[in-house]
Amino acid sequence: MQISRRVFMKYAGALAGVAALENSGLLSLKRLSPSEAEAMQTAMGKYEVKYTADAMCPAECGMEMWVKDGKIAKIYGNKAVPMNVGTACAKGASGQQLVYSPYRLKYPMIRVGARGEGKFKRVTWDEAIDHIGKKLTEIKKKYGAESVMMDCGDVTDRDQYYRLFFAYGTPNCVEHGSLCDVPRRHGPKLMVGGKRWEPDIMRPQLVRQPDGSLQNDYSYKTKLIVYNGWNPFVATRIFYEQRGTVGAKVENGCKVVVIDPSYSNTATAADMWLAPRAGTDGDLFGAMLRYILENDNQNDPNKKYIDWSFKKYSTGWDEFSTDFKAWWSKKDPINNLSYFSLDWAVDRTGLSKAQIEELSHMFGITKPAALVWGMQSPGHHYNGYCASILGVALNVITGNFDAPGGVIDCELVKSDKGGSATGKQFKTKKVKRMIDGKEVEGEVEHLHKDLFGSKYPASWDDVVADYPDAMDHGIDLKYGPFRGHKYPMKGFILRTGNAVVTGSAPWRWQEALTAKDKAGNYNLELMVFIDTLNLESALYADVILPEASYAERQSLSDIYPSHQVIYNRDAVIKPLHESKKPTDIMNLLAKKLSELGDADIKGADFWEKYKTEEDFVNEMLAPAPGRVNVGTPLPYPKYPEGYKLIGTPESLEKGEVSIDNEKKVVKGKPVTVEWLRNNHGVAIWPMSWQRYKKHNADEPNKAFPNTSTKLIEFRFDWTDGGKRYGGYKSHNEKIEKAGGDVPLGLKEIGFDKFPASFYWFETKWNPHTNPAYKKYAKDYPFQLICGRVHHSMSGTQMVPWLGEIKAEGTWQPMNKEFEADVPEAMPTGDEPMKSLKMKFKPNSYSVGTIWMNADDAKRMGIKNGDMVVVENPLGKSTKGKVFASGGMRPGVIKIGFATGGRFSPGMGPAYKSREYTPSHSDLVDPSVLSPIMGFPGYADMIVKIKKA
Amino acid sequence: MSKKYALLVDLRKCVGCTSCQVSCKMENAVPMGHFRSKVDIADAGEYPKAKRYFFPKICNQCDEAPCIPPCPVKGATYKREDGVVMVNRDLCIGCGRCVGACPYGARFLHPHLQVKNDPAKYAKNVPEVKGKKAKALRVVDKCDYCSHRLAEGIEEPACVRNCVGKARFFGDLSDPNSEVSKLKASVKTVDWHADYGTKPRTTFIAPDKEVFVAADGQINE
Repeated sequence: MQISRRVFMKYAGALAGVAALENSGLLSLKRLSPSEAEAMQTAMGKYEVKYTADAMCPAECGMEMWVKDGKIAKIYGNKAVPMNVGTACAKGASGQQLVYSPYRLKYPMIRVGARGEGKFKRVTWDEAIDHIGKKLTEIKKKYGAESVMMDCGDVTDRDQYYRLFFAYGTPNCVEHGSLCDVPRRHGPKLMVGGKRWEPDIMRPQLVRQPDGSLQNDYSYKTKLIVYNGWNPFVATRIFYEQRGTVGAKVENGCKVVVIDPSYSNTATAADMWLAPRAGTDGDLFGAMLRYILENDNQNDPNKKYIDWSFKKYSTGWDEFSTDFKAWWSKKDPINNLSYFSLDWAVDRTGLSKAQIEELSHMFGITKPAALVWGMQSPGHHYNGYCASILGVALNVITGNFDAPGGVIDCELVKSDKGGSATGKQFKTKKVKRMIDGKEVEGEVEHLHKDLFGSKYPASWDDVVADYPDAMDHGIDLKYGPFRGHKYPMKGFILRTGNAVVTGSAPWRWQEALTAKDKAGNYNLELMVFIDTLNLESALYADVILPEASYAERQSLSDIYPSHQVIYNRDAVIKPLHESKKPTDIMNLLAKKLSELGDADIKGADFWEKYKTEEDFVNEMLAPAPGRVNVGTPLPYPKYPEGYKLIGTPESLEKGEVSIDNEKKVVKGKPVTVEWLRNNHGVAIWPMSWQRYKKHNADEPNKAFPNTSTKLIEFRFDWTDGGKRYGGYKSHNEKIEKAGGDVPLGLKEIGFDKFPASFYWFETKWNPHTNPAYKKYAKDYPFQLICGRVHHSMSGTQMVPWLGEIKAEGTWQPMNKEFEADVPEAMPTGDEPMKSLKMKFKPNSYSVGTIWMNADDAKRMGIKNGDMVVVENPLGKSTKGKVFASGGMRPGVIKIGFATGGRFSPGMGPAYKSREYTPSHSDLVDPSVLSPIMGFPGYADMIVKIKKA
Repeated sequence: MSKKYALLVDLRKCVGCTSCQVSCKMENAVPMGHFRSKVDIADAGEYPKAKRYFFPKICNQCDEAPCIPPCPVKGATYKREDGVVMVNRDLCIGCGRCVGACPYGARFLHPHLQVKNDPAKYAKNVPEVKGKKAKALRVVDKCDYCSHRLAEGIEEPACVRNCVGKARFFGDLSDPNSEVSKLKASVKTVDWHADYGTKPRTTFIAPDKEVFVAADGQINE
């Protein structure tokens, strides 16, 4: 659209008078008048600045909140935090509209209608806590504490709840990770004991200089970043990747490749956008690895792909490559081509041979480079495990793992925190259970639903998506001391999560949460919802507790930096309405359980120990940073290499430490909340690279990474010198001790134990790669993928400033006219926000949409904004408006994660559009839980589209 | 020598996050539906040559500001020596002439700010306010490079402070060592509709000029 010059031209003639006006003095300098200054809130000096951490998204950036008269007046990034160096995204800056939202949960409530009906009565905290306490006591007596699941849907500030429920006696405390990107993390966890591999582009980095000083280094080293199904510009778990990607490009000539069926915002920065079929990430990685192995030539500088020094720091490559190459001689039944060959990958991914060759060569030859895979690719596919293992292998053999400018395992290098505050020690408590008439003793931990359950015993990130199944059928323990023990799921405490909408198919959750026994009682005897926000899951709760918002409670950032950084989430303002802080909720519930006779809960562990939340956070900080002194340049040359470091950066720098040579620990003064507050809220320890090798010799340091051998492991279960090693070792031992009883997940893919090295299996609902689904291809011609819309996740859609934004093709201003209460910023007066009823014109406010290829749409006679119905082979459907563009691979459609169909009134404007916005989750197959760790196949689905 | 403020957006580093838009709303209490700063986002191109343009728009603080001459109240809107085009809320009578005069749509009448000056004094020559009381009229609002921050010596508007890609630069063109001066000297910059002859202070590093065509709506429609 061109701007209109009509009105402008009307006055253009007056421009000639500018010079005359200037002479008249009208354009001369004017300072603000006093009243003007006041009106514009210029009393800048009157603010109190608090350093805190965001929690509106999992990036948890360091923030500066400016408080005036007890209210949040300004929000900026904290300049001292390297994660975001003073910046704040749209979501971060919109925090006032969440904190002061009219849609917040304001007081405790107890359900009076049926589950899902949304009828509640307001009660006092005493009544609510009493209700929960009595029910928990009853459930523990009747079924055992393990039948209560504590789901902290958001990882942030969960530890008070974990502590309470571990002490109560259930090992089943889970968090966000279980529904985030488990398969994506699997390779790193298995092979280096870590989690997330990200490019080395966090700047600045505090680096030890040759003269011994510490300096901030702002220079980028990365020359190539390949983002596969990872979209840091929109889904910002790793916030510095936005700034770092464009920074490395402009300042270091770094090339960027984005692999994604949809043209993501990250793709706007790409030198090459590759749009493969959905769910073929592992196929592409496999082809890249085969290409590199087949074409590597150490004598040709243009083909010297592999840096063979990796063999010194790893074990099992020979086994891994043998197992990988064994597939080359097999023919794929779907195309009769040799596995991982270029032709095979062309057939499966839909990319061209030239594209795959170019990508493989470019990744092999460009150094330093980073290959990164995200939740929107391996993370959301049934076979994402294979892709993430291949991704690790590709980075390691090309010499990019932990290289300057390469790829970093952030989990391995982030600061430790939590310590004994998390209450994990309660899990070692001895308990007895009757199994087949015999009394058996074990530890609380051995009652874990997944680690000892019949389905996914390797699910170290827990399984939440099968809770509906657990509610219906209970849990069978198949492994460990309690083999044969069965227990029901009777209590579900959901805190800051929205499992009903995001934990696989909502209809399946609704079925299970409302299922009743013959007497007409709900099978699930207690559901509690604890949150600041009134999300859909609250509709199914028996009791709702309002939790203080992220700006009203204290804790610590949970972030993924390139070296140890930790910052305070300070309580910026007092809890609003009747909300309470997690520490207070923990203490209230603990006291109640104790009063009701629960001998496992003691005052000394709770209310006597933690008088304030600061006490709790100080205990969480005790192990920080808790990482070893390794890498080049050595972070602390004055301390022995490989020793664990504990204490403030200041004390470690000054040498105010004690050194325990037996335990190999250097201990300075503990980091405390007070220390953080005095240091812009943040503690930063030095960066180093190649942390897997000695700083002064080309040999392993045997302190990093975090595997059974302290080497990078390409094999997962092996015996050497009579000792057994590997990431799958303990899980296979469980199976062996159970007489070879194979867990359900492995049975599904025809495995009888966890594999010893490279493995491969196909994903689900993909007619292009899995022969079992070929028959659906004709009737269901579209693959359905999903992805985050940063601005409008499950828990931020009530923030209207974010509705004024477009994001990719899945969040577009396509609303119908509606009226809603919104928090409106006030330019004058004492209140930063005031709730006003406002009318929104059509197409002025963003809503969830169905994004498809423009040619596909044209062929089907579908125009932008048309309502369509999307239906899957399970007969489930959803509807919404189409956004068609050239930014989508033909044959693929994308719906934002939890953007549409929002049926809680607490969603504000998003609730108003629920009838014409799509719910991706409704189309997820709840029976597709990936076989290794039970993660939903969010992006494994095919659909057909028709006009509504 | 007076400072000569300018804002530069390096579109090579814009990640399309719209932080500038929301940070501005937070900083300046900009009402729903109106903007001092706004990011236009446009999808273009056929598969597989798709494009998406992010165009962060803000008042140009024009050196030949077309919004000033039409103002009927002396001093209600004016250009400071440092270049910032200001609104004096004590004087503005909310006639809206400047809103229409800005070809970039950078101005709007603020629904929550009542006019303070008595419109009756001007009614004879300004039919727009004839017969209207001050409380029925709303003052105009626009980007002023966060003049309240500048007044406190914080030479960094909120949109620059929070810019996620570190794509925004603010500073003094009189100082050859300021980041904006150095960038202007070393990288080719381009103005949004230089053809209007308004001499914008706000400028862009825009490798793909199509951004101006694809994402070219006014800031406030």
